[in-house]
Amino acid sequence: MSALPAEPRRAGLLARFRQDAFWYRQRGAVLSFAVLAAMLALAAAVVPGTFYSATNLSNLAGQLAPLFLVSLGQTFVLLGAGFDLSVGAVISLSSAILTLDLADPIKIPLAFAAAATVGLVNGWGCVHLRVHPIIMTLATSSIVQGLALILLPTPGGAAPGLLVQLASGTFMGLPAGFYWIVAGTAAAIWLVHGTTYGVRLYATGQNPQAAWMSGIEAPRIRILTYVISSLMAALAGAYLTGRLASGDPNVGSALGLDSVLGAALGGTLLSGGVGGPIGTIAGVLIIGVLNNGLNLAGVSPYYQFVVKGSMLVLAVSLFRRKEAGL
Amino acid sequence: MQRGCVKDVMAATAPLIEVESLSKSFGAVRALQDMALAGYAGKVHAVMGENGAGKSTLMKLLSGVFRPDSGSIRLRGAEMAFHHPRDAQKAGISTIFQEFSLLPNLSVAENLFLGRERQDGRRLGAAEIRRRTREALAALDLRIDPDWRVGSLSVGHQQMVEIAKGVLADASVFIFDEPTAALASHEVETLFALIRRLAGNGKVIFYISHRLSEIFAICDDITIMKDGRFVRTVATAETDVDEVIQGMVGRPIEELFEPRAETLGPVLLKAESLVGEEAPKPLSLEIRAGEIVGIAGLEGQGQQELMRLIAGFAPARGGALTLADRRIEGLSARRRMATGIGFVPENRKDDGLFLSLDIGANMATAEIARRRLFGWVPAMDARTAEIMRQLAVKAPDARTPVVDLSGGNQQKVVLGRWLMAGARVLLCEEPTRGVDVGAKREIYRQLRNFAGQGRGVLVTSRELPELIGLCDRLLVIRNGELVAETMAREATEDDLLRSALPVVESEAA
Repeated sequence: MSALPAEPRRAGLLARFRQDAFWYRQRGAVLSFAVLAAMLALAAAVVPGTFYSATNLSNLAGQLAPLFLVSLGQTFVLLGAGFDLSVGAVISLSSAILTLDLADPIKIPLAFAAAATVGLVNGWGCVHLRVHPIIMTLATSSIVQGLALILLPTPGGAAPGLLVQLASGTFMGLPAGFYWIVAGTAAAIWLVHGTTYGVRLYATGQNPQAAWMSGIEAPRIRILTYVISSLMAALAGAYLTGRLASGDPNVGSALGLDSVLGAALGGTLLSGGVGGPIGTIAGVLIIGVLNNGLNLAGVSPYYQFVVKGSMLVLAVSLFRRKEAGL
Repeated sequence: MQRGCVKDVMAATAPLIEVESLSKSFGAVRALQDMALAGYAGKVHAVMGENGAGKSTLMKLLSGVFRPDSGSIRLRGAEMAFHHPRDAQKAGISTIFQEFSLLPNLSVAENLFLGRERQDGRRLGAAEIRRRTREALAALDLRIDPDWRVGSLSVGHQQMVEIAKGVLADASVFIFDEPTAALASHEVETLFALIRRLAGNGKVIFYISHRLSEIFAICDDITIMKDGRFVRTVATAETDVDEVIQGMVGRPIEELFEPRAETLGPVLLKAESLVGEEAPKPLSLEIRAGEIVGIAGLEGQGQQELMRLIAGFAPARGGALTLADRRIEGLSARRRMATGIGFVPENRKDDGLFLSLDIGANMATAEIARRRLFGWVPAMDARTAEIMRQLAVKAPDARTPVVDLSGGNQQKVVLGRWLMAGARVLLCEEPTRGVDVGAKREIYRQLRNFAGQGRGVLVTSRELPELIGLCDRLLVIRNGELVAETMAREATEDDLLRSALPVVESEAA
């Protein structure tokens, strides 16, 4: 039979990124880690003593843990070609629930159950009611934020002792936040790269119709991304509540959009199917190092907003799909 | 040879897959009624019909994408009920869709094992998936790395990966939906060899295509459909092209075209040594009132650049363009359209239509574009209805969204837009691409009517018989130059092709 000529193996590292499926999906992460390395080197040059001090790094881990968790959750949603604006509100709601006047064994599961419900509603609305993800999660965000304020009108209340213990202090010389980061990241990487759910998620995010035709339960896969995102947000809420040792109905408000920033800076495309949690590690660290470095360099925090926004535009325009239909 | 033997052996046996009185409706539209189809092991079976005849619906019922309203699908005598594409795949029906169901961001191996990473209750490891992928590819003589991203493969290879998916699933029925639409000719040969090999292994092949030459090259049987119904099944050896077309359309092929213009009016559009950035060689041509002029040529010889230079999408760098005594080469595309140039792009859905808008709005765009910004929208309902009637657009009214129309009717809407805007010269790229035989005839008639009202048409097409039948005069373009001119009534495909081929090759031939 007249066989087609073999596809040529292209030479060079760059070509490999285009041809190998794994590296193609992770190509943004590679760039992000390079940027992160440059920033760490810059920090070593500009503010060496202060940035690389044990206190500063420990603070950094503590500050970054919530952003890590929500960005990883957001990464799932983005991979499935969705968008979750409600994570900030879910953090606030779980903080409110966790400081209710209830027994710990009741309110801790309750906080996570509430988050899972929000995720289910988000996913169900986007997938089955076909509401645009931004509108759907904007709506649930408003509802959930309202509920948080109803439950806890002003900051206060008592956090569960278990969470206070888990979220503060150090263990084996490393801050508690570090362990939350490692646990969340490991779980996310395992789900995406170690399970069949991961492959199905990449397929669904790329093209839900084609995935469905390949025998994949695409609607369920997509709904699950919102549930995972909400659960990660609840985890972030639990950490923040434990760290502050009290509740705050607005504690998550800044984290909603920052979670998208972390994932997008890590090379996860908002159009779905490309990127992943490995890149998100770099994305979140870039934000953290940037904020921290600018602080240490004595730059007004207001400039951080300007820099973050500019970086988002830069990242999205760098990572966008260059080939039509891919 | 191989096929012949299998055919004799299988002729007397029962069909492997059998469809009986299958029906499916979408709302009020009866897409399929009382359809019958029988596939025998080792045979390649063509399913033919115009667009909208129900072929795709039938295949989507067989592959579990849709569920039938009534009727039965029997596989080896057992009645099947597919609720999900996965059910059909498990039953051994593998469909190679026109628009691939592969995921371009996944690797070859990931695509092949998508949704089947678990077998016998255990999870397949990455190494085993890779090994089995390599085996399946080797069985098809494919040299592709399992780790490669499907999106980086050529279209031909992507299709082979689709087929490998069926081989891996040990499918017994393969459905090919317009498989050659996107393939280069050497890829088509590979595909045919593969199809013959699958048939030789006792698989049932259903082959859907508009290309009659392919059907006659590869198929054993032909089932013809029309208006969602079964017409007849014939052995390829016992029929010919004309008979098949007649079965699909209900009329012989010669009747496709309208009579040519008897008298021509004055010159309407005249290009003299027109040069543009993308068309560096000077182009000269004339179109008279009442005339349809065709541009013939191999693919990508500058047809598109020529059309777009005249339409004004690319600015002229020299030469003159005159529309009824008015010099227009300095005008923008928008101004040229206001003076009477109409443009029907090749890619109807992307460049020609606003799919979510209704027929009326789609037809009104060119007329509205000529007017002042923030001017009143004129009353156009009566005119729209009149044009729809004139063009015989098949739709309940002007409020019907264009996305719901068939390809032929969509093309009529684009045509109607220029009728409404009062275009005098229509530039028409590939007017019948992706429309069925019946709608082609309609479009030929409408273009002829358009020219008959004292207007001119310039057409490009890949299909030479279409150009010869449709046009009054033909120009041949080769490497950006108009190299030959002939009256259509004296033109033959041979002569046109000879002028269209590059010089070296045509001398050798």
